[in-house]
Amino acid sequence: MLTGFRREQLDRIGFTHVMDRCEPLTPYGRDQKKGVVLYPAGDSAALNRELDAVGHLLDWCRTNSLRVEDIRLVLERFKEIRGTLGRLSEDGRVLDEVDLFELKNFAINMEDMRPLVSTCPLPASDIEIPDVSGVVLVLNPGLPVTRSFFVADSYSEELASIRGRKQKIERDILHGAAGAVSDGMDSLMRLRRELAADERTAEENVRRTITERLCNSLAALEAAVRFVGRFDFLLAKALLALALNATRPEIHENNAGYVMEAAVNPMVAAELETRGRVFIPISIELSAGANVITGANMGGKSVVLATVTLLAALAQCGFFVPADRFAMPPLDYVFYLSDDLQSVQQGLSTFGAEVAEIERLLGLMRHGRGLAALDEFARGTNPEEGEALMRALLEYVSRYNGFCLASTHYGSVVGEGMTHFQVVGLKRADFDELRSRLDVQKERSFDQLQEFMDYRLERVDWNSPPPRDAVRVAELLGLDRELLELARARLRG
Amino acid sequence: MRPKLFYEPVRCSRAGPDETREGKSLVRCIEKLAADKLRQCLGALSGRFSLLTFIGAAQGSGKTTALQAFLDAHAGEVPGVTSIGIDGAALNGAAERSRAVLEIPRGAIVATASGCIAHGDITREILDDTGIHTPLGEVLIVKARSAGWIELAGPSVIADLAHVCRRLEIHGARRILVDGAQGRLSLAAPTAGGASVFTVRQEPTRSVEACVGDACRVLERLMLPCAPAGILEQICRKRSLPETPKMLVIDADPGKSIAYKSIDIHPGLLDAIGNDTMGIWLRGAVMNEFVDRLLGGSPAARRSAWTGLALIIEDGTRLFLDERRRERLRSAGIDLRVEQTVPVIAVAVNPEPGRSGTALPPALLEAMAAAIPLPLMDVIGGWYADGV
Repeated sequence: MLTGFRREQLDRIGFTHVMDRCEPLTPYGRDQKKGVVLYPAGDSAALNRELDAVGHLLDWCRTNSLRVEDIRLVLERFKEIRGTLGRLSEDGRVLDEVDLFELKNFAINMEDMRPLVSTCPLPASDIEIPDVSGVVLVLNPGLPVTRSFFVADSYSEELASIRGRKQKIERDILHGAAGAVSDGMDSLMRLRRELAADERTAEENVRRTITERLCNSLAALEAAVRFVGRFDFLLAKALLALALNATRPEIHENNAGYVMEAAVNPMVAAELETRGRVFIPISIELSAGANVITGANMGGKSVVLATVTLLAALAQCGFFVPADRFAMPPLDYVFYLSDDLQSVQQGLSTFGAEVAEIERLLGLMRHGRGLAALDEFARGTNPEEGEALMRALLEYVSRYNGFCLASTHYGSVVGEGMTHFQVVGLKRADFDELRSRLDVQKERSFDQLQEFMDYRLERVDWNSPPPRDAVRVAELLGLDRELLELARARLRG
Repeated sequence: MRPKLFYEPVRCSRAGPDETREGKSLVRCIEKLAADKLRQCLGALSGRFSLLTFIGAAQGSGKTTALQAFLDAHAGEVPGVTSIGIDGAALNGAAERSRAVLEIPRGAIVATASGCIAHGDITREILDDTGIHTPLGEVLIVKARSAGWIELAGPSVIADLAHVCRRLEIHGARRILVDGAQGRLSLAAPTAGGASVFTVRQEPTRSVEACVGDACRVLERLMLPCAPAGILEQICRKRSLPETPKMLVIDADPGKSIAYKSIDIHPGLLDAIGNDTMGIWLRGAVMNEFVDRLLGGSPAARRSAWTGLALIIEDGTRLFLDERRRERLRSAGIDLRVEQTVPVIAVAVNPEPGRSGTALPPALLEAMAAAIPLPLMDVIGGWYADGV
């Protein structure tokens, strides 16, 4: 799991969803996926190399779809042999037939891969496809090459001779079974048992010789395992990019801002699709320091925060991102504070848990540049103090180099010099018309309201007041009229 | 323990066909057959089936022994052999018990767990893997390059068995024999070309009569009669729907039959049962609870209440009703029917130790012969009774 994130957070921002759609086919590739971490910000060259590698492979996949299918079919055949390699590296250990069968199949698969990937654009560091053809030769003496494994007679004259004698006796037993006197049969059976034991010993000698010969290929086999894992994961990343119609993130030290154009959150998009609706792509440009989103309830602020976090995390982990364009400087950390944080296990309330998380964020900020998304921080406490804390936090983070994007309903937390976004929401909607068009049925009105909602973000003056349409939204959702009147009277009074 | 390789020659004696013993009259001829004659009989019984499963309700009922006898009966052809483990046999103890030892001929194709391969004394070639894992390792396909004994531990999940059987076929097996696990009767669920051999044991703590009674109950369940053609035709049509219903109230007029997505009993169901209703079809397992809920109400619109209705299930392996519920159905006048009868071709009897091989057939075999019309055998003693 990605460091700094809890499972629920990764689920919430849609990172888990994207990872589930990244599907390496070998145990080695799956291990690489499990070990995904943020590339160190200090080594943006490594991150850019990885993104280049994904990009080159992606371009190749676009024009070689049949070849990709062939490669995937071979990848699917690779099984876990690291345990076997461990045994191979032990002194004096003799591999058993199952081990040898698995090594042989691994080597054959590797040989099948070689011509298929030879035309792939692979990064210079991985271009060398390890040669394990020697393993096939050891485990398949003679022709044709088959996937089965058998301690063949041709390995040892002694073995061949024992088997020949054993087979003859078995024939005698079979043919004599009907009429032979039991004494004769007993001695035949005894002889067969002895020969079966001799055969075992001879086979073990052969396996010992084979094991010794395979030891010479141990390094090549280990390199092959690394190669398969690396290639498999890279291909999975490229195919994921293809499926998500993703682009290469631009990661440069001199990127001053975080720029996201027409980004999609694949998890939210998939969910909307099941309801027959489409995701409205999000564009936003964050400046260093504090950025604030205000706007209507149900206006998609949380989705913006999740998507901003998701794309930063994906990009810093070396994945392509689902956006038309995406640029950011290398980040040391990606931080996400969701609006429903609960740390019940630690015995903290929502607010308590938030404070602990913010403390962690401040630690991260002091040591590097990163991205922090805060979904309605301090909404779980009294509004007066909550607002003060929020304002203080935004001022505090403005001193640091990273990006902070916070959503809030508080009226006056945006300070001068901070970047202020607003969801267009229902700002320009004609409420009377809306009201007349919305169904009275509660469930329907929920859907219809979402259709009228303008999810676009617009940059507004720092001191623009947040829209006050909670009561109207509640009305459109069909809340009791008497209750609404009471609320309006309160607001007026 | 290592079993003997190949059959020992058997000196045979023949029990008279109409012999009587202790006042009991035998309605069937129980013969003691020579080994080759017994092999011939078993070969003829199973010849037309490409998949033979060996099932038994009790531990030690002789499944593997019977399998061995049928395997020997088809000497000369390439057999495929595997076994099914105990459900969820993740425990060592269970895995231990689910291993069977078998003598196989040269050329046989075996599906067994990798952990069993090193045991046994055949010259072996590992042909293929299956991707199916068991507590004893992955199930591998192995070819016997010599005759000898092997340890068998196939997939633990019946759903995986079809895949394993296909692999055995691909590698050349012409007839597949599957050793069952204790109580796993669902293994016998009808498949194309498949048949089952049921094995019964003389329990040391129970009387012969009680053992026969147990066996009869299981066999009666497996061999429940098929529903009438008109009903089967309607079910067949519903089965081909993209979403096969879980329950069907079958009317004489197919247009009036009602399909349900679950087997829940609600008042609407009872109202749907009328004078022209022929039966109720259920997909999947039928439990006691279903019968209790069904008979808790009554079909008010039907003159004869439940009498004359059929309750149709897929096959006898899906039936999980105790005797009380079966009796409730009977007294309500409901006829229990199946879509397909489980093809049980024979019953193999494992007599109490020491009884086999004497001049008289085992008591359990005699008692079974009076109660069960299927071909019966004691493959160790060589006793055999033709089916009636």
